[in-house]
Amino acid sequence: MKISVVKENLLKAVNAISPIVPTRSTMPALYNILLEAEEGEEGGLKIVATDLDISLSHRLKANVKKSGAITIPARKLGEIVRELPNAPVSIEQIDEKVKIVCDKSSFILPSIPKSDFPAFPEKSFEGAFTVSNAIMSKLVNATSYAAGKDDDRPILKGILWEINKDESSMISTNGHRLAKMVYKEKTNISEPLNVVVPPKALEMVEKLCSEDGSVEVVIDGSHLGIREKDTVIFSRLIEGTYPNYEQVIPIHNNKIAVIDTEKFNETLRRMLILANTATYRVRLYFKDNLLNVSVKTEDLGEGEDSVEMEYKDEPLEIYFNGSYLLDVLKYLGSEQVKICMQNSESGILLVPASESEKQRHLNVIMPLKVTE
Amino acid sequence: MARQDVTSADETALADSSPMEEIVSETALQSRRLGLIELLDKDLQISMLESALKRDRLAGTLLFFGPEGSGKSSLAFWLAAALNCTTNEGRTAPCFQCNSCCKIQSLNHPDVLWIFPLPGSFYKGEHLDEMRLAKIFEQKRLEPWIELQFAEKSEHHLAAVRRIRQEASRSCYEGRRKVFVITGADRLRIEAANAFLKLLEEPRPNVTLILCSDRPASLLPTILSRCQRLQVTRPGVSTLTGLLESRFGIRAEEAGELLALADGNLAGTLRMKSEDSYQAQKEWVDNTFQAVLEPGYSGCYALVDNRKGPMYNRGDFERYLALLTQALQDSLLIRLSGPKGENASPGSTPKKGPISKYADRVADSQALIKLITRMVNLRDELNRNVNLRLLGWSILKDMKEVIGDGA
Repeated sequence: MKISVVKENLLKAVNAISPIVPTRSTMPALYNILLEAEEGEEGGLKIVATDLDISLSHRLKANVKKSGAITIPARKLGEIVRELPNAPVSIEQIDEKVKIVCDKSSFILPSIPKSDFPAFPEKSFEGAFTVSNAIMSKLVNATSYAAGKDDDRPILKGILWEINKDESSMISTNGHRLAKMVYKEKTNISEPLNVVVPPKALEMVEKLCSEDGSVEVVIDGSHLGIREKDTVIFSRLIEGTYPNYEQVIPIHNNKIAVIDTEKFNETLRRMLILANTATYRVRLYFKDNLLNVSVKTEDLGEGEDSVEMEYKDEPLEIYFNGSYLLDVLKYLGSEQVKICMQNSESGILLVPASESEKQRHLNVIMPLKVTE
Repeated sequence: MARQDVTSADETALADSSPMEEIVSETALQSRRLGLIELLDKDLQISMLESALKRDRLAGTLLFFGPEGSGKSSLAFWLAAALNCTTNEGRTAPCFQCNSCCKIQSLNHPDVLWIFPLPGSFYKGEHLDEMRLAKIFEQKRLEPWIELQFAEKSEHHLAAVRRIRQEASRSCYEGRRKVFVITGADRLRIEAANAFLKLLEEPRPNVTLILCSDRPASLLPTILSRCQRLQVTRPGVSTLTGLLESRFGIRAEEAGELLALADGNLAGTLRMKSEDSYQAQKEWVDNTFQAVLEPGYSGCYALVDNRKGPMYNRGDFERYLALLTQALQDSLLIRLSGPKGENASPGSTPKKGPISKYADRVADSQALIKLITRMVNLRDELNRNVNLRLLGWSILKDMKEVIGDGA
């Protein structure tokens, strides 16, 4: 393999794919990135990295003098390219090593053959559907925080993505809270799809793709593929049956409170200073247009605050994990939050007080059971 | 600040001293290295597995059981290769030519995972120390047959089972089936075994779990009942002797002696051959007999309390115990065969050594047989949280009682 490439282009590509390279792995090849050069008009340089969950490839223009493929240490390549002067970078494979030359600087790096590198999932994008990056970004931001982190239930570590011709929605839950975002927009999908995807893959789309563009999405058995121009991301899907989340969304709510999101957020943050760091337990007391927020933790102390709200129903005392409430307020994207409740033992529904017709964002949080 | 002076002559000297030797030793190592998939006398097992593959009757969870060093892991990786080989469609033996087979042999396949018991120090809280594990894999890539020796007790922890569960929930990366080869499966901690049961209760269509165990009786009955079992037997002595002779250049006589000492375990034989500690272990066994033969307990106390001895390190203790058991078996043979000791095994020590003296003083052969039986069964105790010095002390005491000096 022998190529010459513009330094800025190479730097951009290396920066884009380096977050994928794992910091710890039992497979040495994963510390490397694959450089694949192809001659001809449609040729160029393809850079690939993978952590086995997500695989990312970026194609860039290059003057390919000799085709070939080799893997070299990703971190060292990144550090070298960052420090190179603005001049064409030549990369050449010499036996089992790779020589990088730029202006008067030259480096020789060890390499691992392509055969030891995990095969990039080359799936066809035929039949792919298109999703706007802005919509994808909204869906992911509004839900990814609620995904589980518990290794015992791997399925909950993913985001359920439901797509049909009229709308696209994402759902995540850790068993104690749930977030769902629905966005109504027609897609060119042929059949409705339900897949569970690791959040990291979807977050990567937001990082790598332009805000105003759109991405092509394909789901092929075991992988979700996303392509935008020269960047292709493949993510392994999480297998298993996602729990029937619809049944935990409370419907018959007879107590409604509307609160200023920012003020509620500030009050909660103040109270959480004294909350138990394992449970973040806070007490909410809804009564006569005033929400009383209090915290009492043995050894740490107690605190109390209140915030005005619109509430005309019967008084209600309910305990929550305050950090879950904070997450909802952070990602709600609305000036006021509407809290719909039944009693102190049922889950509550948090939705933006005003929403556009196009999108629907809802959050469910289960209350804490307190035994004094 | 002091300048570090490294002259070109120093550099040359350093360079001259190693490269040639490295090349020579590396070449020698290449010819001697045993691959991950070395199938010795496994025709029966291979034909059974091939038949199951052809008929698509292979269970999702398999248990390969047989004595230590019988090649269970090799067989498991053979099956992993067969299931993922790109030329055979998963229905016949692997080709060992395709990229998938090559990756499995070099432990580089993303869908074939090898899980082995590790000491608790490998876990930081609930997370596995991947850097330390990576070093183990480096070692395993070079010498997959050599068993890992840790000073601490090694087990399958809950975090390891969680890792399997998480990995099993993901789709395959490039292969057809995700294969988990779990060696030392009988060393699952209770909480890990319970978590493992959950995994077995939620079988996935593209996941194969291969448990390898030399003590299947130690597995939870609920795990055992969910496994398709396959017995793996040790290769014949002639096969092993031939291998040691042709691949490792060990003389047939020495190979036979080492195999007898390692109880037919090839990995154990190679370890004995390569380790300097083997001689030290042998000396420890001799010292043990001498201490037992001495009147009183002062020699025994000194042996147990010696910090450089085997009773302060679990790995050393296991090897010491194996050699001591072998020596006791030899002393029994000497005792039963009369003064000439003609029936002693090839690995036995010459007659005038401490083992022979011990054999001469054995008052009750039945007591010696009982002690040997106990020693053979001691491996189970070693997997529990046992105090090595107390265990060592009780063995010495029993040895003294056998020669009627237990007062």
